[in-house]
Amino acid sequence: MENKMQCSKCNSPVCTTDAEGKRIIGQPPSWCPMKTKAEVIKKAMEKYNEEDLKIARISAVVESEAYLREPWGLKPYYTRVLEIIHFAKKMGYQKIEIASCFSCAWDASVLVNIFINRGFDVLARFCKVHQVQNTKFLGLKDEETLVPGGYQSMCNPIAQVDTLRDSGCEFIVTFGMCTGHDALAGKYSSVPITLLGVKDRVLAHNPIIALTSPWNQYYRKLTREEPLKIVYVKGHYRSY
Amino acid sequence: MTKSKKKIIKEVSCVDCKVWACFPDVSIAKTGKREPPPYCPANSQREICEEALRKYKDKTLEFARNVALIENSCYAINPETGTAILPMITLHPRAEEIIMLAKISQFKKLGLAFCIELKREAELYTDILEKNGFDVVSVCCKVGAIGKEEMGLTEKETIYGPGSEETICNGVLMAELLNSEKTEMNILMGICVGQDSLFYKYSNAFTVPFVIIDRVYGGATMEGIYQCFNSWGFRNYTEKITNGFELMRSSLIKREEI
Repeated sequence: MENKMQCSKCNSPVCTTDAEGKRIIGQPPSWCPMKTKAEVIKKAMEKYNEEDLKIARISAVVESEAYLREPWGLKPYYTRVLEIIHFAKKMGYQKIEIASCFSCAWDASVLVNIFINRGFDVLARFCKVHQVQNTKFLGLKDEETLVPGGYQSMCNPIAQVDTLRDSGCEFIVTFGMCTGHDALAGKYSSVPITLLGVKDRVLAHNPIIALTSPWNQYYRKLTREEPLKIVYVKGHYRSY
Repeated sequence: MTKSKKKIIKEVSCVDCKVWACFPDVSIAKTGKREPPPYCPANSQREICEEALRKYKDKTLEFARNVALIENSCYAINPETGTAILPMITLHPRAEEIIMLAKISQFKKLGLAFCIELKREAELYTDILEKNGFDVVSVCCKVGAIGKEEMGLTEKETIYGPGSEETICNGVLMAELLNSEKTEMNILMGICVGQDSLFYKYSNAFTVPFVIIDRVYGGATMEGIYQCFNSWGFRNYTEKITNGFELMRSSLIKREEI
């Protein structure tokens, strides 16, 4: 416990700045990775190649441009969509690919329009590429699918990412993908991949509500004393 | 003529597809497999698709299976017929889904990479994860405290302008620190555009995003799409059009006939 790296429980974040851009002065906790893992940090900084440096730099530039300077402080101006557009323009990407979920088809079509209007070449791929059957390939039982005895194709993020790369993409934007499918897409994509929108089926694609609004029932469910109970009922997992 | 047509055929976006043969609509799933159109990647890029299937091995296959289980578990099921209730009723928010996925995959050690602006939420989520029996290590985006000037940024390109001592967000460092702790699954909370691509590039474990930062809409990134037809939102859409009606019309025009 003493040496466990937990930045989320740090009370003196010396690595960051305060609201006026000055470094915070204080004593970092004993498990601060800047103290205990200096070697890892040194090795990681050597891993930056030119492309990574460019990405990191432009990311910082876009972050600084994302705010308007008002007399009372910073006013956020860029939405995530705009951030991605400006980032891609500054990186010089011509062709943007959207790896989207099927259930977000309408949203994805608007997003395609947005990127076309901003002068990009766009290609969108949905997650069920190649029509591989869930039960045959992944070995799900029949009762574990949504329609027992029916034809349900599996989400295939690796094929999604690979076909996008094959058609000449430079930058992939994931859009509304399920928990875990974006993990597979991110792990197997060989081009830079960024996130625009995650799927939250209950909270209207805004997952942070479960942590920020105390009157929400899901907040109460997550923050009560006993842990979640996960049960397997007739082929489906449920958490109570 | 035929050549150019072929080129177009390979490039049809899935949003423009009129067939949607792969769509697992619950109401028609019992009719079985439908034939994909010629421009579908299942036909035009068949070899790549088959190669991609071969990448599902050992850990990846197991993880993909667990993800599919979680995905199917998120809908209410009619106990009599065993099929999903229509219209679909959804059950679990993403915060729960991630916990369920980690539990089912039997992961013990989770990594949490968060933006410093979301520190309070990250602390709460760390507590929730620990309560559910996981060993959690977390790392914030400014870790390492590397100054922006060291990375070759000028003073004008920082947030607070000349004289600020800002540090840069560091996706590579976060990934490497979590790798050194040998986490089995990483969770992203509010990592900026660009830094998440670096994180994905260097991270060894599976990385599930939880929250995506959106400075204007408070984390609801999809609002950038839903609200792009109103006066505040259409700056997302384009710089040229300033009239909401014109914008609506332009979005309804078909871009290209298949």
